[in-house]
Amino acid sequence: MSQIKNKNQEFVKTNHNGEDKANSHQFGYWKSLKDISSTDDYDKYLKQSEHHEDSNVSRRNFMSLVAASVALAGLEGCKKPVQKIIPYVDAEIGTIPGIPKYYASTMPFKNNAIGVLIENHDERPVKVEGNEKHPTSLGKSNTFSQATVLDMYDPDRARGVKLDGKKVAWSDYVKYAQSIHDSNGEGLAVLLQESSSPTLNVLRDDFAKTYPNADWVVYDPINNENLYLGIEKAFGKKMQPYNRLENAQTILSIDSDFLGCDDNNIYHTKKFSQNRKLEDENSTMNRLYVVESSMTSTGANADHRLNVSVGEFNSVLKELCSELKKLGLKTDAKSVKTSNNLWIKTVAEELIKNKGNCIILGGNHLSAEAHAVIAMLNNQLGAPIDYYPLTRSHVTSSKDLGVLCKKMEKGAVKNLIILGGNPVYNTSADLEFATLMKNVENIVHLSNIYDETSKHSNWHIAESHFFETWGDAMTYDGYPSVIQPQIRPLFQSKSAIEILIPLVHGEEKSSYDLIKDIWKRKIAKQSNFENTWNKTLHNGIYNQRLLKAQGVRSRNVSLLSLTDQKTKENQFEVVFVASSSMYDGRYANNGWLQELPKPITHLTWDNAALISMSVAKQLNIKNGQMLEITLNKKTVKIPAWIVPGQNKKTITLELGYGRNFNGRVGHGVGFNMYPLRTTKSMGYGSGATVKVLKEKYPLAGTQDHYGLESDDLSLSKSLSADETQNRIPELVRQATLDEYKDHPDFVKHAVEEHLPDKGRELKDYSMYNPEPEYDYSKGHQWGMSIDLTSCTGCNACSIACQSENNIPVVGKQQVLNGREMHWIRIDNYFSGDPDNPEVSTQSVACVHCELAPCETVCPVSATTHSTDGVNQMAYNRCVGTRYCANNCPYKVRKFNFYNFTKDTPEVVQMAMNPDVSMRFRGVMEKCTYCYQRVSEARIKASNERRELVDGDIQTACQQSCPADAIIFGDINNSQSEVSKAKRRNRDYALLGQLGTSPRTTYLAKIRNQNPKLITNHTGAHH
Amino acid sequence: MSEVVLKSRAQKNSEELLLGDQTFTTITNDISGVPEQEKAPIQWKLAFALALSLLSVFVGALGYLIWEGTGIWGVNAPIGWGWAIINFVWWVGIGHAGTLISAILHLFRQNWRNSINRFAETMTLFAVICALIFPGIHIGRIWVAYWFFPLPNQMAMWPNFRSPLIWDFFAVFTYFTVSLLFWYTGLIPDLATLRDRAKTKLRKKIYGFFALGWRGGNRQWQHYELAYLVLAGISTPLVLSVHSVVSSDFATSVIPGWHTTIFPPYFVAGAIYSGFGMVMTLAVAARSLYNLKHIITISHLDKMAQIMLLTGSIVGYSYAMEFFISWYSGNPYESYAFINRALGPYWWAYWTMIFCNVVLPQFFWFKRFRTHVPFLFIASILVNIGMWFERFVIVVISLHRDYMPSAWAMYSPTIWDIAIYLGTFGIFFTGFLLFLRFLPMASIAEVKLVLPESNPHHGDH
Repeated sequence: MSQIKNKNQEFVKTNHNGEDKANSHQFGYWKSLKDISSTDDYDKYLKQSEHHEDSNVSRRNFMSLVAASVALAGLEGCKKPVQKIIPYVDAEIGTIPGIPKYYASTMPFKNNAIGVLIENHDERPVKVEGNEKHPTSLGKSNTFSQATVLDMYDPDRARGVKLDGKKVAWSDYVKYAQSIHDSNGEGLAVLLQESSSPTLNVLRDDFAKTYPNADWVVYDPINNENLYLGIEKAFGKKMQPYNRLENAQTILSIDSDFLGCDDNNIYHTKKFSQNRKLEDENSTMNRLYVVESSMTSTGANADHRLNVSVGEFNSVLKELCSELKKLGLKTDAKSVKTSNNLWIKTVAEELIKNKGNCIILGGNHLSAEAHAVIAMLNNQLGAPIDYYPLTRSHVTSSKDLGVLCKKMEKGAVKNLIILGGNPVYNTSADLEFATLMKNVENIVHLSNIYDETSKHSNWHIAESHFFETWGDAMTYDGYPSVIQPQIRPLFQSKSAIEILIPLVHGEEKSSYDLIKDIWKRKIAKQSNFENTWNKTLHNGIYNQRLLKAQGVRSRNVSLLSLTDQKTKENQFEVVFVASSSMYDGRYANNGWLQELPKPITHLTWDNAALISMSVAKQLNIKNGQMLEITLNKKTVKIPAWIVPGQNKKTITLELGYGRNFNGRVGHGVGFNMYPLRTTKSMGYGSGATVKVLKEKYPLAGTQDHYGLESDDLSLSKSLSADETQNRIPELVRQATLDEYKDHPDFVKHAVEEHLPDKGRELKDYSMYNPEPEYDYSKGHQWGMSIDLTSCTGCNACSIACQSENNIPVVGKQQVLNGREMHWIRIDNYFSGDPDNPEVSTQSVACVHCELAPCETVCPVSATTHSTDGVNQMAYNRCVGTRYCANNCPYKVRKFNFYNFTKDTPEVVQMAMNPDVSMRFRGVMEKCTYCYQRVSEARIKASNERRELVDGDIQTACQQSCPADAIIFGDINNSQSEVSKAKRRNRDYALLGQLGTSPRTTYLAKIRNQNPKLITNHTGAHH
Repeated sequence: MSEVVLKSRAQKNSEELLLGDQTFTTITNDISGVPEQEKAPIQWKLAFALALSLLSVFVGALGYLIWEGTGIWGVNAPIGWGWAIINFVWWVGIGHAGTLISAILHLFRQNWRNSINRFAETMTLFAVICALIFPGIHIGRIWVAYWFFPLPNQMAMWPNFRSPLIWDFFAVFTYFTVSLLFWYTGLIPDLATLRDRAKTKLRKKIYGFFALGWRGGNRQWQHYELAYLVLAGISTPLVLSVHSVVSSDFATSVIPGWHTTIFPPYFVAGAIYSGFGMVMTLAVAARSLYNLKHIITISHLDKMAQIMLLTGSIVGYSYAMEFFISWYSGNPYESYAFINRALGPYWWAYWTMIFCNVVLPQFFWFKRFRTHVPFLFIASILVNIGMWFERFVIVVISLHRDYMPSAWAMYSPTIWDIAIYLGTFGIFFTGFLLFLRFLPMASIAEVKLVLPESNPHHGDH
């Protein structure tokens, strides 16, 4: 033990030095860096706790070791009593129990790098936040980076190394890899997922040198292959476009869901919303035009949206070119005029008007030819796009995959190393990858969970979560960043790099050494490398770019190759999209994401065939009705879900569901759509036929869009739909920018001007005592402002809240019963034409009423008001009458109908935030304004003998929000951001006429509509 | 002269309210004959077996509820209250007729009540017991239900006296206590009669113990009548207050459809309406079961039907008034709440309520229906179905679509909701059948008051 103590002290020293060097930031986010040589005692200890395989892992922290052994003890299936907690014998100096530490790291996501800060409690990572210093996250996060914590502690993760289903040692794999190395690797192939790792790049070069005839194939089912091919056609070289949306006043998205599922969504949302911050009626904002076939998050935020099928995208593009040609751009477009001409012409005029400040974004379903045209147009329009070189070894190549499959078919592949990914599940159905795998002698599969592909492989190796491993990644614009482990691997897992090392180098080597060595040699070539390295670890990103933006000049791209795909009468086009929750299926075992209501459909725990209202009417399809969809002789069954804004010709199918694997959460959830997806129809396929089956399937949606679906309630359908329409202008107050300019006080039109006595404040209408019992003009008074103009409804806040506040997952049946627990819900309202509606998005959590209806009715005073104006829940006083929830006009209180956390596995408990108590059944819960964060900041300020300043406290939702739509702070401080926001003339209180005097208020939604395209008013006036 | 008038009135009374040639002896024999039966009639045994099985359903469902949590019910967000609260209000309402009959009609010297008041009071007692169960078990953490009580504790935590649930709790408890006292006080002379007629030692001891040494002397009667009058006086405001307080659970909230000032009188009228319905059901059953048609006469049933006509009409007026106010207020949320009641997805519940509570009592304008026993029996059951639906309409329909359409949802009960509800019938009928078996179902002493012999003077010499 004394040895350990010494090590800890050494550890502390380094950490402190690091802190001193980089105390510019408010968090000391930096992990231990010092390599500590093994000692006998220490090694013995490691062996006892089954962590003998890697003595060089850098973070020797005692507690992480302990945490690992806890998990192992719980999971190895032994029934022996285990010691669950080993307290610090000698804590590190500087460690204060209960005070979290923040370390920077990077979340690799395909070929992108998302900078994160990871909150560690007692050396246990529990929460992900964005890293302000990182250019892709800019301090913000998305649903995936928030939810990844749960993936880390997934009890279904694979363990160790298995050969033919039997547990073997890691050294057995190393021997196997060495045997390939010795035999020159004839018939060797490596299949990887997209990545941006510089280390992997070096390994790939070494691999190519060692095995000149071997294959290195990169495949991800959701990819930008067509975009890169199009850029190659336009500029002669595959490049990564980097869209500087902050410089775009006019944005035209053709099929690009850049605010939703498409790559780099944090960056895009942040930069897009920057230009949607309105100080007052004289401010300006950008304008977003969207052409799409199915309502996406991006389409929902569009100022103007054109609903066309995917097959018609090319004709829209041609018409756009023809209009742009008239305005002086060089294209070979022929003059065309369709019914969409006014729309397209208006967009073209605006693009030309904003030359240099406009951008066209193309989506995944466009052909390479279309992307080439867009690239050419962008180039001519001077769009703010930088192009960075692309590493071929990092992005999907279906050509390479095709070659590999041919070789496998011939039996020419003897050893196939699959590093991550799940090709059996997600490669094109016509490749029949599973069948081809039978021709391969040895298949090594690295994956986090034993899945579809693992079943067909003889070797299986557990894949490390990025919390557990060393690695690196690079942003699109060339900033390399390091992936820094937060905890020792819980399940003897390995990273792709660790698998490749013995294969490439023929010997085992620590990944940490390798990465550091590569950084030293190729990236940070400074003399004082250690310093740079430490700083990079601290900041989460290296301060210099590896890539240079490329100058581009477009070639002449002909429009001739753009063909329309006309869909015949009675036939449909089937469009494959990434799931906003499961992505390509990789998050299937993540309960938070499974239960997260999807942005537009509000569906949880399932995917569905999205169809338009008119098709539903025509074919008499109800929500949940099973459909049999046939495309190219392949058939799938899936329930229907009616979505406003869906194209009549389009059926949208979400990928990533219907998994058949060892994941207790995601196994069998939803319907697998990959069997319909072939090499020729990766994006979409036309000519699909639909058979409506009689059976119905229960779909758990969390918000019923009454009236927009033709579902039951025959007697009252129009009644509820009409009423919803009536209420939208009051609940989500909105206007066009021009209306706002004419009527800066338009928010008051909805309610306040109709109140009988104009001299009174809204508060005076309260049925409760209008004189608060406490003087709220004193001290800190917390409040929040949510800007509906910039909120994109991306759901990041909802998941961040779930992670921060230990909100339980309740399962599909309970969601069907209306018992989901999310403290923040994102409401969507559709208005106008059901085929192309306006979408009003509003995130609603407890608004912390000063005169709260919930507080007076609680018989045991379990919900009360704090002196700083927060409506609080005393969980252990609550008896659960649910009266408060009934009396809440906002319906934001959530009740624990069961003991939802009863069966939470021990490992998952490690993902819980120790600052927030778990709630037992029978207890009400709701948003607390992250009061634990308020307390933490207050204590910190008090220890530092200073006043709390604005920005000291960020709620979890605010911190995650990539649109910066949520502002929290002290409303008594007139200089605070929240006070400034609340002084804007767009500020209104939701249902304020009830006299609840909510502390969370909203800034009305402004749509920047082009007057030429306005057909109807949004309801600011009457 | 006045003597003659009084006598003729008394005679007239006795003709209507007691059939046949009744004397003190026959009345005593007839009423106390029932609990003195050696063996219970087979109908009683069957009924009791059924009641006990329902009771066991209740115990089972309650056990499962405590084990698993409120989740076994159909309640959800936003419909936080479901059958439990509906049943609570329904049972409390039923209780009201008992108090009205025994206290208010006593104060107004309505002697026709004398045959049915015991009955009705007993019904009140068990109905309130059934009602009191629900606030206790509908909460999430049943084991801390005692926090409703203002118990001194080390944390100095008191209940929130601003909460209508606390008012409710006090109101219903007070009601239960006073009802129990009133019922027991009324029983004392009869218990003494049973004691005196008892043939076994055990019966003598037990009835004797509860008779509190009653001898029936003049002084005792003097004190007794005064005490009874005082209790009637105390009970009278409770008839009005209890359901007014219960209605404030809803009326003081902000939910459209709940936040209605008409609730207190409308709830009281509804309570009496449903209470009389229940008394009618029980009276019709008991008088035919025990062949006491001469004591609980057609005239009694007729009078009860008249009260149901009155209260049913008040309820109907209130429904109309709610609609008028929701329109007149100009409050769109309020208007929608009521339109949604009538035309929304739960329209069937609303129209069931209207039929049972508004249309049905209109038949009672006609004497033919008021005296038609099978019709009365069916109508009385429909009245209580209607009143149950009234609470369903108020609780569920108001909650399922309130302010924010994004939170709108539907509600449906589970098998456990139904089990608990049926189970309370087990409690009610087990108690009521035991009462029929061991206690006089009509007040022997008071029934005699309608005989010419008793010719009550009340000190008027």
